[in-house]
Amino acid sequence: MAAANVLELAGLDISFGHGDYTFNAVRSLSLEVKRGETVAIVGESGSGKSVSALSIMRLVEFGGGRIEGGRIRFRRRDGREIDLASLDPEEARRIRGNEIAMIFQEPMTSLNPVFTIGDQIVEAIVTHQKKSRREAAKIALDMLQRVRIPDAAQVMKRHPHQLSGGMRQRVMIAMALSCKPQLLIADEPTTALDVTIQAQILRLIRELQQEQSMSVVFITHDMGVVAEVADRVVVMYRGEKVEEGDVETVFRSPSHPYTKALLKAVPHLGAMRGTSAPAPFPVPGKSDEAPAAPAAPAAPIAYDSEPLLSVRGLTTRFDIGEGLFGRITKRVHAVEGLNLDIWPGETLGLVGESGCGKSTTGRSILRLVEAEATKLRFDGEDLTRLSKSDLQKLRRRIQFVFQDPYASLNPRLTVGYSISEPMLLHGLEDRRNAFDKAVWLLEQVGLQADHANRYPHAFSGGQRQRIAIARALGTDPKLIIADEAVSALDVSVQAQVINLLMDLQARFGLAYLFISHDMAVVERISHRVAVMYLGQVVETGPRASVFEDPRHPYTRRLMSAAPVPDPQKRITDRPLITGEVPSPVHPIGNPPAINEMLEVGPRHFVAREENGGRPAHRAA
Amino acid sequence: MALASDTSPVVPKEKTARSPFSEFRRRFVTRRAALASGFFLLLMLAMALIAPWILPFGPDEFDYRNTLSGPSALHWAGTDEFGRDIFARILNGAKLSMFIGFLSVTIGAVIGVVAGLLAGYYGGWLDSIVMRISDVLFAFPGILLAIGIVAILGAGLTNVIIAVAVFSVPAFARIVRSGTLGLKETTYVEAARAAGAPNAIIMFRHILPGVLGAVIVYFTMRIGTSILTATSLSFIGLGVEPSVAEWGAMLSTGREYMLAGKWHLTFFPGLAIFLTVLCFNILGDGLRDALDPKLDDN
Repeated sequence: MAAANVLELAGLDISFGHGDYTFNAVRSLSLEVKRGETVAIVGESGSGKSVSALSIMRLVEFGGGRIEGGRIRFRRRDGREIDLASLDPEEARRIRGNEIAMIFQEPMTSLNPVFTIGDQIVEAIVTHQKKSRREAAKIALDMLQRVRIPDAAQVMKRHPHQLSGGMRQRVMIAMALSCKPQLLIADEPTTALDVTIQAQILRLIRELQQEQSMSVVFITHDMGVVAEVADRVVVMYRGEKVEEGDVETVFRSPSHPYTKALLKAVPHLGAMRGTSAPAPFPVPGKSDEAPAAPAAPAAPIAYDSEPLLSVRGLTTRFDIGEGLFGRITKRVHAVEGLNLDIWPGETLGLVGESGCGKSTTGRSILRLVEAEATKLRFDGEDLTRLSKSDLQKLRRRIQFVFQDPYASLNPRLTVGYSISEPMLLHGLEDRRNAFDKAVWLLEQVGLQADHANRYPHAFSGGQRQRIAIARALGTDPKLIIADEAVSALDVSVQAQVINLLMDLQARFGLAYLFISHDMAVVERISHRVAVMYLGQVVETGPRASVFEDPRHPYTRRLMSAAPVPDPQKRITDRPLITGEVPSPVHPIGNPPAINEMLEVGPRHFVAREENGGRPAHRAA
Repeated sequence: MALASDTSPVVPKEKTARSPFSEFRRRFVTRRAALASGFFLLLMLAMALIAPWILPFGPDEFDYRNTLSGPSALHWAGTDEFGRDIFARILNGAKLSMFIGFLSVTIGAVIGVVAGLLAGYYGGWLDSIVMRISDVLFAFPGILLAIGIVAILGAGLTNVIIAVAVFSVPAFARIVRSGTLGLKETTYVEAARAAGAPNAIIMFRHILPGVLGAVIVYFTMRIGTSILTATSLSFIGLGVEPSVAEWGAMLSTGREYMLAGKWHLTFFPGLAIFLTVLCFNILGDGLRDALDPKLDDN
């Protein structure tokens, strides 16, 4: 093992299951990690990247996996080399958390809810470092300060549920680094976090790595994150390493076709600069895509006509009960006085971070949650009163596509039935015709007619999302609300589904309310964009003007935080924000003020800031 | 190349066409104990049904020359104090017990499932009422509740069925309610609502099939328990007439001869109860393994 290396994997084989059901999750994987280096392992779901990481920690056995062969050579703190693959479990336990530490994806569940933050870090230190609890507490406090947690002494006494996701991930990092590990394994540590928080955490990991000259194995599916953190990149595909190289080379001149395809499919924020209409992703190589994207652009949107959907003053609040009798003392103001217009055939991208109320907005329009609006017009009719028949009309003409394609199809019904159900519910077709139409719709979304008799479990995530889209088309809707409809999909599949949505829009004249947290995807698909923050729209306008000339400080922050899949554009001078997002919870009788919108360009509106200030760079 | 994976099926073809039912069947046939139990119960029921045509003795035929005789080639399980053939009486009892067990649990399940579904789906005051009634019924030990009901309604077959049905209701209601609470938050239920599905469709087409697995498992196990309760009621004289060929009643009358060395009067009915209840429980276990995808081993 080379002296500079901390970790060397050689010919690692990992399998799951027994006998006929054996599944080789990782096949002859070799890689090395130098001291102080960050190696990113990238790949789509099922590529074996997480399994590889777990095997380094010798945690893969707890998940039912076996290390079939190969070696995992690791240089210990005292310079000795050991083979982790053949280490006995007790010895492996002593190294785990001490010399090799790990951060997991889900900060919400990786801390124990019954102990305080301080107790949990102290325990990690006492277990591995033979320190007294008092000394350990001192180290813990120091660690929390180093991960830039404000008011660390107070945070030590808190329980996990009192902290936000970003704060919890900082605590996890503090805990992981408290024993000064040689190697940190970060398994999708920012995937569950918002972009602004993600940017902070990535920056933090980098800084701490330099301080402690620690090696990092960073596992992610997000090429933007790779470009941001990695020194070297290992690309995995179906259990095998297909490409390895330093980050610049891999991004600039990828050699393996899979890497090339992967990089092409990654949405690039800013890729649409200078254009005003949405454009499909370039689909590389042999295309099995549903009918090729239309060459002719869709008809321009007639913004002087009446909008298809017009909502004024949409408000959704959730009560919080407290005390013995559940008296309502506070409310979550999820959506507050929101105005929204969507014209026929256009895509309105609704962006914002988790908890900003963007999903609630979509659900409120169809009254999947209790809400009220001062005015609701759809397709030339005033539906403000929202009688039972009004609601049926809305639910027929506006269809929904949900985020998780694994959860949105009933596993006990055939795909054909699921697709025909909305038609049957609205009495549009009889059973036989509905099924025929379902088959036709399956073909429209790029699947085959004989898929109609299968059950959802027979399909991959991308296929299921196509099925969900086919279901939404059955009632000839005018508007489809797509709530994070591509967020759960791998990038290549995501690109295909987005192209499909655009293709369907051109063919059927659909309007979309496209709800997403991903700025790059929204940039690609939208005609207009609305940015949401704390239950209100803070900026809205044509996509080109919002993305090229963002006026509201929050929009600017979102744009600058989005990771750019280009290692040369790595942002290093970004200030590390430590603050928390303000809460949308208000006591009763104290609703948030509704910000006035100012027009700063053609159809481009920006909210006046709460402090009464004006949006930056007000247009002349 | 690589990106083509999305539109090709990810699993081999013969696996993709599987319906939930064929999936269940595939898993169930690997549970040998449950299969054997099911077979034993079916065999017993079949024999009970055709007994009148194949057995030389009816369950109520007296043979005064041959009272209290032990098991023999003629009387496989011996005879009782009136010379009645115990084997014939056990088969008759099997018919009776399975009838009581099946019917009472069916009644209890239908009421319980509907109550649990409504309570879980609508919540609020309806949920409170259904669950408080369940709590009250749960607070009684099952047999005590059944005794109470029979004491009010009077002894007899119909009342035994009612009594056993009543004490099955709350268990089904709870199982279905908790399943409903989970399923009504699923995205596919929300998707159905977004598509304009009325509550009845959501409840019976989207939620009910999801809880049915748990109901079937509990249904099977409950038949065993109900048979036990019904025979207990007969044993203490609150069920069928003591002269009827029923397992509990047979045990009750046979017990007087136990100390006289006539063990077969109690042994065979006891064995029948034991095996039947055991088999229903093993069958229920096997069904649970086969219906619960979380326990899937591949």
